[in-house]
Amino acid sequence: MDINDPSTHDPASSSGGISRRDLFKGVGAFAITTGLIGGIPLTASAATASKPKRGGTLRVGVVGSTNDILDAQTIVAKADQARLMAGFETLLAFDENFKPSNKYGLAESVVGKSTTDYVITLKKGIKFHSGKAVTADDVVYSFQRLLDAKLALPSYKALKDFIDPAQVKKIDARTVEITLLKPSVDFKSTLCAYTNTIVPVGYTREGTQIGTGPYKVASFTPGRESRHVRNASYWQKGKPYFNEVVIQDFADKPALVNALRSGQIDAAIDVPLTDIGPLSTTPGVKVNEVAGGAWLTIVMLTDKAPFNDPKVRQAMRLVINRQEILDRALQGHGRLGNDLFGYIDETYNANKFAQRTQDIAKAVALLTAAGYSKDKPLEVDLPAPDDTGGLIPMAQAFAEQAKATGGILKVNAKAMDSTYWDTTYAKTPIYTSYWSPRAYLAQIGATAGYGETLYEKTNTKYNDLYVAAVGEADDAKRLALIKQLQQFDYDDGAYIIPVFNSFADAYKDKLQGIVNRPGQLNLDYYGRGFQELWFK
Amino acid sequence: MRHTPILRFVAKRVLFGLLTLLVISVLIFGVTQALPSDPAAVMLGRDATPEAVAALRHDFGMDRSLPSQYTHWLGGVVSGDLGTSFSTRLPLSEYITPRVANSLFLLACAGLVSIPISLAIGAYAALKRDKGFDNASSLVLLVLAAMPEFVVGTLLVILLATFVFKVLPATTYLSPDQPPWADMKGLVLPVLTLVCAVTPYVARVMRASMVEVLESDYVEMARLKGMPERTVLLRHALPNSVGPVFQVIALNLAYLAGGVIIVERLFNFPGIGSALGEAVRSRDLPVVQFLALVIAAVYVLTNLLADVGTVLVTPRLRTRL
Amino acid sequence: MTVIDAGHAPSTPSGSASVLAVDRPPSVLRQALRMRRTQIGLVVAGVMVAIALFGPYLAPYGAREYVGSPNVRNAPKTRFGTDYFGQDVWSRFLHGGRSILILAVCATILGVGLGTLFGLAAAYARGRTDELLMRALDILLAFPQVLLSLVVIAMFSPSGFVVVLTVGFTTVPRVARIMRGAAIGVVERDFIGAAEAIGESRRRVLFSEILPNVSATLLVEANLRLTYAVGLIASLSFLGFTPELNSANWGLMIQENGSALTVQPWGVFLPTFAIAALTVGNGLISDGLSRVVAGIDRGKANV
Repeated sequence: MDINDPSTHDPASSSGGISRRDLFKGVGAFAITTGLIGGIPLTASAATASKPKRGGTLRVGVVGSTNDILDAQTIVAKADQARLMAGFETLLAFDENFKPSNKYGLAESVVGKSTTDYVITLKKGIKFHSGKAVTADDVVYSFQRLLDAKLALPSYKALKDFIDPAQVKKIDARTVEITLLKPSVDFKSTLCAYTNTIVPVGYTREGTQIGTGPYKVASFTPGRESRHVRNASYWQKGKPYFNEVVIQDFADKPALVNALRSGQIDAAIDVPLTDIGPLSTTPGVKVNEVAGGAWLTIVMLTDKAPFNDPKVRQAMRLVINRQEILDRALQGHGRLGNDLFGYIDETYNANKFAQRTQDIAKAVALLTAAGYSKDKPLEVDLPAPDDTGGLIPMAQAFAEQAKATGGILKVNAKAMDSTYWDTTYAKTPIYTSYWSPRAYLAQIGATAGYGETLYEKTNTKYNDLYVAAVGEADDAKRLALIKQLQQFDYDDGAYIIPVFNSFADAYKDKLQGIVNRPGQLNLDYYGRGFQELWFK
Repeated sequence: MRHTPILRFVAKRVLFGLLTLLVISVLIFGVTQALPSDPAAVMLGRDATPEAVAALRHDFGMDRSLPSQYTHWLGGVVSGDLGTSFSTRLPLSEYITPRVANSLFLLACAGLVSIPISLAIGAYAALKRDKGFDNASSLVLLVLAAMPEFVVGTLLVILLATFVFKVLPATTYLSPDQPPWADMKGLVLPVLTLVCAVTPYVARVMRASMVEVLESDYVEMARLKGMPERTVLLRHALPNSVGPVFQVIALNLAYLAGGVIIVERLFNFPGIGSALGEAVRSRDLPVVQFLALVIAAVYVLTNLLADVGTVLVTPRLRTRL
Repeated sequence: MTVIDAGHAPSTPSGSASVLAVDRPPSVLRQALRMRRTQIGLVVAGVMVAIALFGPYLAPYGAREYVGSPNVRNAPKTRFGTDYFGQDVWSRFLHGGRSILILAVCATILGVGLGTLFGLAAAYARGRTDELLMRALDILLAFPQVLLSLVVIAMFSPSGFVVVLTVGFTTVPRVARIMRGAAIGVVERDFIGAAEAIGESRRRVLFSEILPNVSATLLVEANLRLTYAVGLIASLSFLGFTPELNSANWGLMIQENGSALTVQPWGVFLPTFAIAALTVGNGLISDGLSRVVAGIDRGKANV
């Protein structure tokens, strides 16, 4: 079933634009981790040999706006992500091998009695910022809030088919039992989604921000800054190290980079890919580039003309020049896509598909077979939201590449403001979208939850395979099912996936404790809510 | 007795100004309502559910009839309750007031710098009519007047913050608890850009007005009486030529209220201009409505003051009342 | 730029009237051309207009064509390197003026045409109609052009058509004020009464009697508005409101390449220079014309 989204970051980020909305929110779904995930190379885990020092104020810069929010279980933009991580914690968290672990989590243990029945036991002695102990009631309330349709939290669409809030039951003060609506081979990954945090009973966005995290919210001004003071009674003894963390908003990335250069801030979250080179040669500054599994995509709705015709979908995939998109939209900071998602998943290359490349002759033949010609060309508007870097450049580059068809395919790139979410997303026959890294089956669950492609609706065979795979506890059998699913994705699916994008952070070299790991949130989960970071 | 006509004139102008603002408020409300897209759906983004959109529309008061929404809004504005920002969910008074203060400070700085400079340039150019200074200044002012602000601003950044001289920061940095004067160095370039945008107009009118006064009979008379040139200029020419400039200064201040949209964007200045752009994009209607009203009110008010001011300082208009 | 009508605002107590001293446009042009600044303006603006119109034919690459790694100052086979998106800066510069110029000309024709119509009609109608018309237009003046354009373009999404309509309509009240000021003096004159007396229709009086007598002011105003329209359209592109996503546009270029200013300055330098040259050249022409028409140089502007 599901897989959760590990990492969530905003693709946009990578390409240098302002990224407003982050789909990567921890869409929570579930993740299949067991057995499947884990092939991620560990680049640097032994962070620092020296012993962390206490004290100081960490100033973190991030692109934000007056639309910023502070909510324990959702975000709008990257700035919100950093704030959430500082103040709130989940039951489990992904470890360096992308497996659910209780090291940074509030749960002592999560035991699966079956693929539908899980028992969660809380650690002893963990207290909220208010001083109140974390109990089973808080866990029950947290799930109720996550599944409240009215709040439209990111986990809702991904969790609603798996969890009925009424089936989240308190056993005793430290124990909760959850019975799922459908089997899930790995419920634990879901608990790691960083927006699936535990909040005290009665928590609301408008009320006091009380969590269990290493830093307590002292003040928050949307579009300007927030201040977070050290949680002296944090459950991990000795941590965190700073007296205060200040998260400062910048209107755009150039301003953010300038602030780091001039010493206004100690770390800049999500610097433009074009600045990676110049910044890494700047004295006193270090760059943390992560080749993530986040991706940019062009979505073709399979229930709408003209993309209900598989020939047209295949033709589109042959027109695009993936290498050029990587070079242009991402300045080379990323990896080539092959119309398959789930890069961080061990199964990504299970079928060893050939890399798809531009083939205009074949594309023209397919379009001709589909009934298009120079006199009756296929004309499409390709909308891209301006709040997410990388998408507009991708649309523009694709529009230019389509000219090679000699006028049979005409693509018109169209920039949109935030109304994209109301009028375009999952509505127009073709549009651009983006996702944070997710394991393979979790991505299918999330895609279906948002109705993004409707592919699973128009291809029942695909849907049956997915349902079978999510409930399959045997690794080998599940892998066989996944290989069949991927064959559909590669031959016939609704996504054009040209690239997986990297993202990068830059920081002053006095900042210690930063680990470079692939497929995770910026600054490796913001230094786990900044608890791992300290000044030399 | 002498004051009554002036009072009546002022009362009439104030009444007319209020009426204008009322019409403007209807216009603003109508136009923002006509913006396509449902703000609730835009606000919720990818995660929108029908239940959440309905709940949010209710929170925003958007499930009521348009006339009721309008009267509610206007009543709120009049009674000081400005409503709540859709996107930040903060009361507007809390969210927008510091930004209004920042922008006003920026405007005040631009005005304080540009008005004396432009009056001086205009007056001096009039004195040296058709000579070197006049020709040179008119050319420079002309060049500045023709270029859009963002071009002037970009040139200033190139000149003073990046390539030629690296002496000033390219952006402003203000923390929310800081007053706008906390970063005076960062304020230099935005102020300078606005000054460049406004000075040419005021200077040109000042010059024309001064030329007219210098050619007038009473200045001639004063000279014939043998008054020293200094006295003629400072006592007679200057005060009399400032009158017509009032209107232009007013117009320019009102214009600046719009010019900040671009300048604030360019220099990352946390004022109403940057807030407005963001609000339009994200359909934060209460913010758009309030800021548009503020900008229009600045225009109406400055015009009112200029009209009254002109009448008060110009003797022949005063007697006509 | 934009908006300020100051220099020639009729709202100054003096305003208007200057027109009476003036000849018809051809002789205004001839006189203006004798001035050095007009000559310089004509050359500068002429060069920029030529680049804007013919540049696309001279460009070695397409406006969105990919030529090599982004932000490389001395990329092979390019004159000024590549921009943020791996496109040829020189080619984008050559492509980037035409749409601005065409949109600005269309918007100016619309704005000045309608503005003149309203202004003359108000002056000729006099009394209540005049008052009503001008007050209505005044209300629009309370909104800066940038603000109005921002909102209107958000309403309809940026297309060339919307940009022209927006910039054109926001120009109307500003032009109307000026033209009304110029026409008021004409309306009072005897030949208008005479024309009415011999039974000429009001429309004919408006277009055949009044219009020719304010045509010099119209010429100055149109040229000035063109300068502002270029600036406004470029500013809107800079703010990201542009129909030119699939081609090039100087304002958009400045915005797109702004973040790489220190790495690849040409992407910002060239379009900044282009807009500055076009608006300044045009401004010089306007100045020459208005000196002839309003006699600024003689100190008669406020007579």
